[in-house]
Amino acid sequence: MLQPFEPTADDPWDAARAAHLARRAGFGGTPAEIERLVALGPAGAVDAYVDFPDVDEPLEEALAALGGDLVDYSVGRTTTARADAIRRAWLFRMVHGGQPLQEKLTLLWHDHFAIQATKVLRAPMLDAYVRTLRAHAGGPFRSLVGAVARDPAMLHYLDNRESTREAPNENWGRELVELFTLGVDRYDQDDVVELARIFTGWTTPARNKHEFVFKPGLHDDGDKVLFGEPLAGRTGSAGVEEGEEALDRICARRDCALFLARRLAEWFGEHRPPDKVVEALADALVEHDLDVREGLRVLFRSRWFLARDRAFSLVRNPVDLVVAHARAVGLQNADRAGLERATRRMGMSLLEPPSVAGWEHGDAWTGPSTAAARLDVALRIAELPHAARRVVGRATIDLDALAAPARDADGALDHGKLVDVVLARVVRQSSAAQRELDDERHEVLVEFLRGAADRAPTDLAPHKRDRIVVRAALHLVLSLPEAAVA
Amino acid sequence: MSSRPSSLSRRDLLRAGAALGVAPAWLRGLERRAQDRERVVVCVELNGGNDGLNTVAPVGDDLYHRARPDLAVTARDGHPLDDHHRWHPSLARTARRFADGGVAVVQGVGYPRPNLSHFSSLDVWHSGTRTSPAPATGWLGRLADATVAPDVETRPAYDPLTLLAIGHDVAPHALRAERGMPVAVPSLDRSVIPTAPEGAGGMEAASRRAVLEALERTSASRGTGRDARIAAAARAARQAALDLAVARDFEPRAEWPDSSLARHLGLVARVLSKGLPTRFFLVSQRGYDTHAIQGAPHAQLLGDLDAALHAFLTELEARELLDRVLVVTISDFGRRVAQNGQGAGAGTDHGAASIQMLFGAGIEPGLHGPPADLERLDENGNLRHLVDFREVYAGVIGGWLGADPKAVLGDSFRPHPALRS
Repeated sequence: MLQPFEPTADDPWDAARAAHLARRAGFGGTPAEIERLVALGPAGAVDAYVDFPDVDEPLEEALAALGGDLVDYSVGRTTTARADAIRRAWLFRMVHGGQPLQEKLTLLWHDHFAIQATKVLRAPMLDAYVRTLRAHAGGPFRSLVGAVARDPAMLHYLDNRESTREAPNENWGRELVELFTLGVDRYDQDDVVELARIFTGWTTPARNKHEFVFKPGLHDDGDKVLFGEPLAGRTGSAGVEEGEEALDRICARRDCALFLARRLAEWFGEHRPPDKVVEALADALVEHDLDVREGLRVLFRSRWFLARDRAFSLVRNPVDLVVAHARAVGLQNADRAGLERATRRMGMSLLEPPSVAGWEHGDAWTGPSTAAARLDVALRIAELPHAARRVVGRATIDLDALAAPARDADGALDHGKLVDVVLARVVRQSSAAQRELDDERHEVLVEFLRGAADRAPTDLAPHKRDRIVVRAALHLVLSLPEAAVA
Repeated sequence: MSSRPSSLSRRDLLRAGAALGVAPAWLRGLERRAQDRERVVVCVELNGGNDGLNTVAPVGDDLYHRARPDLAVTARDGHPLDDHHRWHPSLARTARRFADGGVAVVQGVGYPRPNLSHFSSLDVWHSGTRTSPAPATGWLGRLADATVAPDVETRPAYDPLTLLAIGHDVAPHALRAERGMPVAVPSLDRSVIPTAPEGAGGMEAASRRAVLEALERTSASRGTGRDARIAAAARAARQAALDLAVARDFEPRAEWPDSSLARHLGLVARVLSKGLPTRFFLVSQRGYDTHAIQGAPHAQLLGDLDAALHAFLTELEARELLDRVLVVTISDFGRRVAQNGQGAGAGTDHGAASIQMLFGAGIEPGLHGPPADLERLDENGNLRHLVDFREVYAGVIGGWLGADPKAVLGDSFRPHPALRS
């Protein structure tokens, strides 16, 4: 089901396929990036996404140079300001970072191992939680789950901090198997009860709540039964090994591989992937000890993933959407663009999912509320100030550079070409400004630009009038249904 | 955004509507339609799994006190209900309304093979089915499909405001329909018409209208696929935003408390008082997942619920609107009979059967069903259900709205006597 795609003369590895990979494994690409991916060939292009280093050094340097609350959220006085600083730094990484797959996975794991800032109020915990997800984003799933199990924000969020021998709390044990690893009904209520006992003592110190500690005094050291097999109780500091053994046992189950495979196939491939694809991806994951990178290498290389009709079949979630738009239009200083407000208005505020189940995806993002907000976000992006060079502390876009390919030999802005150029840039991530739409739709867009040009104040200099038309083109193209899918 | 939205004149609305490419409600004949005084359902979701046993507490049962040494409502606190039960201490107004014959409570409500997952269980309650996977539509959405006449302009769909979720970013499952598109608004402030843009580009409001027109023209030829749906959704949202703008102008007649639930129910009252065409509301109050330290937070939640419902019902009474409105509560599930933990840290894990409360018109007031049987718990220590929640839904569908329960629920359920037929 996931045989690798082998390019042929009739069915080549081309810019369309490379751009599809860029939209799914990352947040889209510039024409230059797509050309580079084409030159690498399918295997090289996939490796370029999958083999990201653990730390994005150039990005860390850029952030350090900028300083402020991008680096130190504690500059903010209130909990809201601090959480917003963490969100802005996170969005900055997504827009300006060089390892988009790491960020796309970090976002997936946040959706998957969801916590809500309204319950986990402390900014250091929120920040550490995001770092945990990013550090283990591509790593073996067992390491990721193990790190999340010890994460203070999660211990706080699902009440395991409060769970003791006398009063085991089922919240973490249940979500661990239901939402994080196996899926609903792939375990018994008895397993939930036993997991609650096994994880007693996994908590945070009374004073420093931002650390993990195992407290043997709170741990139920009696023998347990998990998935019908005995799990020996352990006393003293060895009690923590019970939890590790339980996680090993969970991750070794076929249901866990299937659950992980389905999650990856949904996030990167199709909203409802066929069972056969899920099975094949689960096989690949098992072969590599649930290593996420290796699973994705197989998925991204596959004929199924790279099939022509796979393109533009996923509804973008709001975070993906604003980041993709920001990258497509060449937004500078993304932390200053109000992107966190934009995602909130569309219903996907980072660190604030509706519940521990994360967000609902697919057609949930095509309803009236999200659609209306999306149009406003398109307008806000189109309205950002123009700047040819980076201006410190100000979110800008270079409208002249965007429009340059749409100018005639004599320098006049061609509205027809502008439609194609902006569509290519935003939707297809291509430099080739070929006709994207049928004549009738194309004419509607051109007419719209003509209207914008007519409405532009006549006392403005011509290049400023042109910029108004470019903004109108961005407003419209970012509003099109085509821009809402990847 | 201003915390106190100012009222808008008809001229303001016409201008805003022109910028949005949609017509205000009165131009579309909606105010006339309000005279039809059609019946309305307000579904209040107690999100997280409300502890039914501590809401209507069986204080006459020793087993209850033994299972909950630190959490039980006692015969000294709480408000009188009957010989065996007391209301939670936070529910003073609800208790008074109950004594006056304005509340129906159904005990032991659940469904076969209870699922202890929040999400699976809410899927069951929202979809109104026990099938797995749950259908994409919800029980209120299908009820709208079965009972609401199509809009003249948008046939076969009905008005975008017909199904309205308040306090939500995305419309919840219960409201999803075949023929219509439910609208979700986080709050009144966040549902108002976007102001004219003031960005650096100096683009005028006409640009918004032009974009909508262009979107509609480019998607009109493209059938009913996802693209057309996205474009239609944008128009529905603008229409709803414009209509909701009239709800900003409102002089309350009741004393309203300050809580998010009160603000959400306040918007329901505003919408009803303006004669807007909403027939099905879903309002959520969050925070009922009281695994640990249940005492004070649960008391706060029920206190907010008590005060907000009282204000809402009082407001509707003052406006002579209550005869059109039925309020029904739902929740993920009840909670475990035995508390976990001790002292102030005590909480309760996920349970099964619980209670439903009904207010407003169309109810048969009183406590329905036998007391909770704490002796015969299920294998997880949870209450067994005695009433299928779909019997209550069937009462709403058949008794209150005169529709065919089987057409909405798929199976035949006896309408529950807590609703008048």
